[in-house]
Amino acid sequence: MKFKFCGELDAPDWLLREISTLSKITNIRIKLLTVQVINSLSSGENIDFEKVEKLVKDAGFALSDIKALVAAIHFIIFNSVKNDVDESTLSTELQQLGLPKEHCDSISRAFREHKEKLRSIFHNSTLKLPSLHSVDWRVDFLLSSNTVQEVNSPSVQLNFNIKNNSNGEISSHPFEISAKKFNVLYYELKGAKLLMEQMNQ
Amino acid sequence: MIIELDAKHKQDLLFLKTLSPEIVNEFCRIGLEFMKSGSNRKLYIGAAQKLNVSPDKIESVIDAITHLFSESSRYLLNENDFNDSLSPLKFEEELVNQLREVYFENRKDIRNVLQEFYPHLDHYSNLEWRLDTQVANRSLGQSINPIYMLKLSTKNGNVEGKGLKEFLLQTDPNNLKHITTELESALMEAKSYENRLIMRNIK
Repeated sequence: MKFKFCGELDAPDWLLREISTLSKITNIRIKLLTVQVINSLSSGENIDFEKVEKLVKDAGFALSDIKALVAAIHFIIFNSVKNDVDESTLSTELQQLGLPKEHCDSISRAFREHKEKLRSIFHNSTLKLPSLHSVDWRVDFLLSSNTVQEVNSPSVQLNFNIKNNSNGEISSHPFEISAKKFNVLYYELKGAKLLMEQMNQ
Repeated sequence: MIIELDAKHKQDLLFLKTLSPEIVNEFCRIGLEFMKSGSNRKLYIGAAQKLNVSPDKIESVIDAITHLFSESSRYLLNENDFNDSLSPLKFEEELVNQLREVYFENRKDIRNVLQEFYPHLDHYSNLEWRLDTQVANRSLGQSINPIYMLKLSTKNGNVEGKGLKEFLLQTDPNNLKHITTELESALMEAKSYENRLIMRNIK
């Protein structure tokens, strides 16, 4: 069966199996678990296992069951945010999977409250190549050198500061470029900028 | 199954007969420490002086104990097998019981330490992807070219932050489809008839 919250694909088999485990917990615990998962997604840290264990300890679940529950809720929330489903669609589809109505409603309600925030966080954490942080420039006029008495040509020195997104390090790449080559570079970059502006419209 | 102890091993272990239970305990503890962190010559010299034997003798006894424990843990001997392996040495009941207790308490730790000797290869940590469309480049004005960008992270060892390598890769959609078909057929291979026989026999 094709589900919208899975991105129009079939729901994975393991999720279908976990639905029965999810139905065994009470409503309140589902809501608190969902809030825990959402908090870990927004802060980007791993989920706090001690809190999760405290929430489900009376129900007599083994460690692997708890992990499976957290994985199932994480999958539901993550994919619903990613595919931009609205709250009622999510609730209907979870009921189609076999989850009791109250559980679906509590998950969808928690989801609706945090959906926009999660979407903007996911948008910012898209894969990025190392990006340009800042550019420093300087124009020199070369007078003479030990090989030629009179050089008399302008030259540009550029320093690109590149930021690596995975560890936040900034590396600097200084280089020198002659006036003619710099003109070519400038011309090409202007062409690229024009294309970008056309795309934006 | 029973472990066969070779002659030199038996000779070294016979020395244990002459010692009192506390010293045997102490030696077992030193042996376990040896397995986890390496040998400590100073302890051997100190023990040798107390017992009036040479440090080399102590070292060979510790090695013998360590070898006994590691071989027992490797084959996961149960009580009877352990007793039978030690029977050629004709130890007293007490000594055998003592050694057996230490073995049973620590065999899980020993197995964990032994596992670390397996060569550490990089393994998969994370894969991020994004789908871009190239609309123009420097040489060609109007073109539509979908490209996938992948960032594969691999990890070496269990320590967080150490040994993390990142690979930025690029592929077109056709290639990605080939990769996924290959990987899926690799997964299906595990379900083939011969492999299922092997799995059943291991369990």
